[in-house]
Amino acid sequence: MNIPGQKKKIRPDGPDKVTGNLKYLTDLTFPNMLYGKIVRSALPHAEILSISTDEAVKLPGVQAVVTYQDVPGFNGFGIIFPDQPVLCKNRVRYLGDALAAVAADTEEIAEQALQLIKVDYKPLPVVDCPEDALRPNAPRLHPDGNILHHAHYQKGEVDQSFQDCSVIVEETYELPRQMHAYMETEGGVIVPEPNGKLTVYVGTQHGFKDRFQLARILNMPETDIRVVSSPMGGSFGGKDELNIQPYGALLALATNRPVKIHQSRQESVRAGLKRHPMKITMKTGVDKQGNLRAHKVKIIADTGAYATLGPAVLDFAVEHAPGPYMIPHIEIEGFSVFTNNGVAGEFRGFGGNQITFALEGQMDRLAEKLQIDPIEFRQKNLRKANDPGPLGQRIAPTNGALEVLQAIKQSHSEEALVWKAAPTEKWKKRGTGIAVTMHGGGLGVDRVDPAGGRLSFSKEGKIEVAFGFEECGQGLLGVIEALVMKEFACEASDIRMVIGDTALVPVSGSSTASRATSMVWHALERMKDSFRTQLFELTQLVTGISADQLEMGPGGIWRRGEATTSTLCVSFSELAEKMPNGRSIHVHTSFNFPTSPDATVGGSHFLYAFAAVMAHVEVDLLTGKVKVCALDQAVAAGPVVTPLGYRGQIEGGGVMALGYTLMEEAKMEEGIYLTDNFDSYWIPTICDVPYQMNVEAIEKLIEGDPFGPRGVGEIGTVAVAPAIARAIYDATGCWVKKLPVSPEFLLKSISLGEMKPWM
Amino acid sequence: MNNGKELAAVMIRQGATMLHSPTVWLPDELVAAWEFKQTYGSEASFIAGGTLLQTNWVKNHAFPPHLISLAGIKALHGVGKELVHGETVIRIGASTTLQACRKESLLVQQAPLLEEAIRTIAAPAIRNRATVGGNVGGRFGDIIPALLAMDASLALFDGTDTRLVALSDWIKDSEPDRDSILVYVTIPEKSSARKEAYFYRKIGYRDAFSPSIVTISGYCYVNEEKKIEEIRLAVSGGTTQPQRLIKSEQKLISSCLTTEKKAIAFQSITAEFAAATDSFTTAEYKKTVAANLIISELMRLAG
Repeated sequence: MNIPGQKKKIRPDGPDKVTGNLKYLTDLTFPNMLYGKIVRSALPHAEILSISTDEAVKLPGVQAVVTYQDVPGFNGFGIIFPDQPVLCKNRVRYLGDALAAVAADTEEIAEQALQLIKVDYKPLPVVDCPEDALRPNAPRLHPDGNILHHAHYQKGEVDQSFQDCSVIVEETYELPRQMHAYMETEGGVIVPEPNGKLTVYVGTQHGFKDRFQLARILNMPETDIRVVSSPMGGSFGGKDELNIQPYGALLALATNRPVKIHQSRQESVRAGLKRHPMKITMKTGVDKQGNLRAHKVKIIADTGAYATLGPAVLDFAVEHAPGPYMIPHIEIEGFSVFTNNGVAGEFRGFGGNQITFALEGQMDRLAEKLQIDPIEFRQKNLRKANDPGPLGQRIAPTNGALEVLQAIKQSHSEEALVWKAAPTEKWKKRGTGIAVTMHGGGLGVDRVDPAGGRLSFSKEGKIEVAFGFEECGQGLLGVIEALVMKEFACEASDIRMVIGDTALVPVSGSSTASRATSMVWHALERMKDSFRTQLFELTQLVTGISADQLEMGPGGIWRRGEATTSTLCVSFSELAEKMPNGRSIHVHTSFNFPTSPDATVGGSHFLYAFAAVMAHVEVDLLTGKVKVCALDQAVAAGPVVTPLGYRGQIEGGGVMALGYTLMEEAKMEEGIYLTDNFDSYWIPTICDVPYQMNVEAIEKLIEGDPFGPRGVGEIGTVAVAPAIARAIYDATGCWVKKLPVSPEFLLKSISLGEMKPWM
Repeated sequence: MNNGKELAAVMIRQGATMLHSPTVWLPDELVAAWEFKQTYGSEASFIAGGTLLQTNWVKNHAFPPHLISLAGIKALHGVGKELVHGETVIRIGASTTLQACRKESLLVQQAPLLEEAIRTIAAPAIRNRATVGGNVGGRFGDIIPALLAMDASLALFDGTDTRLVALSDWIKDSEPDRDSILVYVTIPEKSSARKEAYFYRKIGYRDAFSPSIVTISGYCYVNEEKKIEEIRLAVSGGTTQPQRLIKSEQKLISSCLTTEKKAIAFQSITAEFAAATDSFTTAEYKKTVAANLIISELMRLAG
C-alpha cells in the first residue's frame, strides 16, 4: 500500500509486543494474590432448586465463595438492558450463566472447589433456535417474552412496486455464529485498595462503562472504582461487555485480597460473546433497465440468552440492509430473538457483515439474471455524493461508494481476467468476484456517544495527550502518536500518551464502532489551537520572543520558519522547568460523535466508510474445498493516519472475514457448544490466506469535508464474504447462500459426487 | 521396581502447584516399562511426546496417577537398515519424533511419502515432540495411511518377546492390546524402488494445523501394458480408523484403468470405506472425497 508522503512508521507498542516484553493485564501479579474461578451452569436451561457451597468453603486454601446472596447491589449487567444475572438465583438460561465464584490460594484449589459446589437443577425445555423461540407455545425466556428487539423501517410502497419489476430475486441467507478468537482470553486482577476503593485491571473497550456497571453491582460510588483497561491482547467487540470483572470484584471485596481470574479458552468459548447468527430473507426487484425498484428484507437474529448490545446490532443490520444502493421502495423488518444459545453481541462489523452478505448476494443474482456485468449493475444503482443515507437520513456527503468500485475495477478487473484464464491444475476451477459496502461509524443518532480528550504540557516537558480509549491491538497508540506528531511537528519522544485508565483519562466514549481514530482527530482539532497558543505565550514569557514569531517543532519551540535549520528557542524540557509556579497548560474538550440532523431511526449514522473487495478463488472439484488466492480491497475512509495501522486493519479484517466465509462456526446443539476449543473451531492459518493482499486507500474526501479520517476498524471485514461467494459462483456456477461455505454442499452442487468426472 | 526412577511431575499444567501430581516413571529398559504397566494397569499410561495425551487432558479426560515415560528406552530410538527374514527393511524407532523423520536422510531418500504425510500433521512445535510410536499407537494418526501404502510392519513388545505384525493386520484389530509397547516400525526397502508410484493426500478443515477429514494414500505399479500390477490403497480421517481397501484393490489389480474400471473403483471405495458421520461432515462426503482423490491419483499413475 502506497500512501504518498507517509513513511512506514513502527507503532509505539510494536517492539514490546513482538519481543514478548509487554505485560498484559493478565500477566500482572500482586502480593497475597488469590485465584478466582467461576461455576457456570451445567445445563442450557433450568430452574435452580438449590446451590450448596458448604463443602467448597471447607476445602483448605479456599478463601471465599460467593453466590447471588453476596451481590451487594444490583444483580445484573448488560450495556443496554442489565438483564444478565451476575450470579443466578433461580434460573439459568445458557451454559455460560454463573452460579458461584471461588477465590483460593491456587488456581488448582479454586478448580477443585468448583467441583464441590453442588447445584440442584430442574431441567427446562431448551430453546435452541429463534424460529422455535417465536412460536406462541415456546417457553418464555424473559418476562417480556422471547423478542429482545423488533426493528422496522418502511419507505414507499414495496409490495405494489414489485408488480412493476421485470426481474425479482428472493433468497434466504444463513450466517453463522462466529467467535472473536482473541489471543488473550478474558481476565485480569482486581485489587482492593487500602481506602476501601477498588482497582480493576481488566481489559475492556470502555473503561468508564465498566466502572458504571460495576458500581451498580457492588453498590459503590463510581469514583471509588478505578478501571485500568489497556493493553489488551485483542477484543474485536468481544470484551466490550463485562465478563469476569464482577466476579473478581466480589471476591476481592469478600477476601480483601487481590484476585486474579483468567479464563481458559474453554471457559471463554462457553461464556463469551459471539457474532449473531442470522437468517435473512431478501426480495429485491429491478425494472427492465436494471434500476433497483423494491427491496423487502426480513432478519431473524439469534441473540442467545441475554441482551448485551443485541438491539443495536439488529438496528445496524436494518440500517445497512439497503447498503449503498438507491432503492425507492423499501421495507425492512428485524427480530432479535432470545434463545438458550450462547450470548451473541458486539463483534467487528456489528450486523453489517451478515446483512451485506445477503445484500450483495442479491445484487449478484440480479445482475446475473439481467445478464449485466456485476460492476456495471452496481455502478448504475449506487448512491451519488449528495444522496441521502440508507434510511433516508442526511449523511456527510461522500462519493466513497463509486470511488471504491472504480478503484477495484481499474486495478483489478483486467488482472482477474488474466488470472482466471491461466492454466490451472487438473480438477481445479478458478473464479473471481467483487462486492461493495458502506459502513457507519460511531454509535448513531439518539445514542449516548460522547467523545473528548485532554492535552497538557507536563512538568517533565512532554506534550501529554490523554484519551479514554483502549489499545486492544488495533493500533490506537500509533494513531495518537501520528496525529500529535503531525499537528505539532514534534518527535515521538516529545509525547506522552495516557489511555485506558479511568483515574487518569477524560471521558472519550467507547473504543468501538470504528470511532476512536475519528474521535482522536476531532478532539485534537478542537484542542490544538488553544494548546499551541498557551505554549507560545509561555515561551514568550520565558524567552521574551514574541509569540507570533514562534512555531512548534522537534524537541521544543522554534522561531517561525526556522525549525530544524537553526537552534531551538527553547526545548520542551527547559520550558517546563521555567514554567512559573502555579501555571499549567491543560486543554480539555468534550463533544459528541457527529450525527445526522434529520435521522428518524435510532442508531442510524452520519459518517460512513466504504469498501470494495475483489476475491480470486480456486475450487477443488474433487473435494469442494475453496482456496482464496487473492483478496484485494479498496477503502474510502478519508485520510490515512498510519499506513501500517490502516493496512493491518484491512488485511486483518479481511482474514477474519475469510475465516467467517470458509471455516468458522461456533456450532451449538441443544444449547451446547460442539466447538469448545481451537481444536474444533477453525480460524485461518497463514497457509489459508493469500500470499499478498493489496489495500488501496482512497483518501480524498468531498471538498470542504470537515470530518477528517473515518475509522477503518470494521470496514475490512464487511464485503469479503459476498466477494468470495461471487467468485465461487464464477468458478462453479453454484450460488452460496449459507456460511461458512460447505465443501460438501459445493461438491454436491457441482454434481461431482456421483462419479461424473470419471464417466 | 528396578531400572526405574521416580520423578514428581510438576509444571504439567499451567498454574501453581498441583494438588495431586502424577508419578512419572522413567524406565530405561523395555521390560521395566512393561512391568510398570502390569503393576499399575489402568492407573498408568505410557507417555512419549505427550502431544495426544495433553490434548485429551485439556478435554478433561482423566489424568492417570502414573505416567510411564518411554523416552529413556534405547530400544525405541534410532533409524537404520536391518535384515528381517532375509529382507532388508528400514527400521524407525518408535521414539523418533516426526520432525526427526523429516531430517533423517535415509527416510528422505527411501520413504519420501512419510515426509509428505508428516508435513501435513499439526504444527512445528508439535512435530518436534510427537513421535512415530504415538502417531501409530494412537490408531488415528495421519502417518498410518502412508505406512499402509508402504506395507509397513510394527514390532510390538509383549513383556517377553518382540514380534512383527503387519500394520494392515494390526489396524483391523478393534480391541488392541493396550499393554504392548510399540518398539519400531519397519518399511520394506524395496518400497523405495518405485517412489513415483506412491501418493498421499490429506483434506483438513483448513490448509495447515488441522485434523484430517479424509486422508488417502496408496501405491500403484503399472506395467508396460498399462495394467495395474501391484496396488495398495489406504484411507482414514477424523473419527474414522485407518483401513486398507483390500476389496477395492482386488477389483483393480491386473486390469487397466478404463472408464468402466473407474466407475467400479468409485463404487467399491465408497462402499468399503467405513467412514462415519460426525458433527462436522457426513460419511457420504468423506467417502466421495476419498474415492475422488484416489481415482484422480490412479489416473495420474495409470491413466
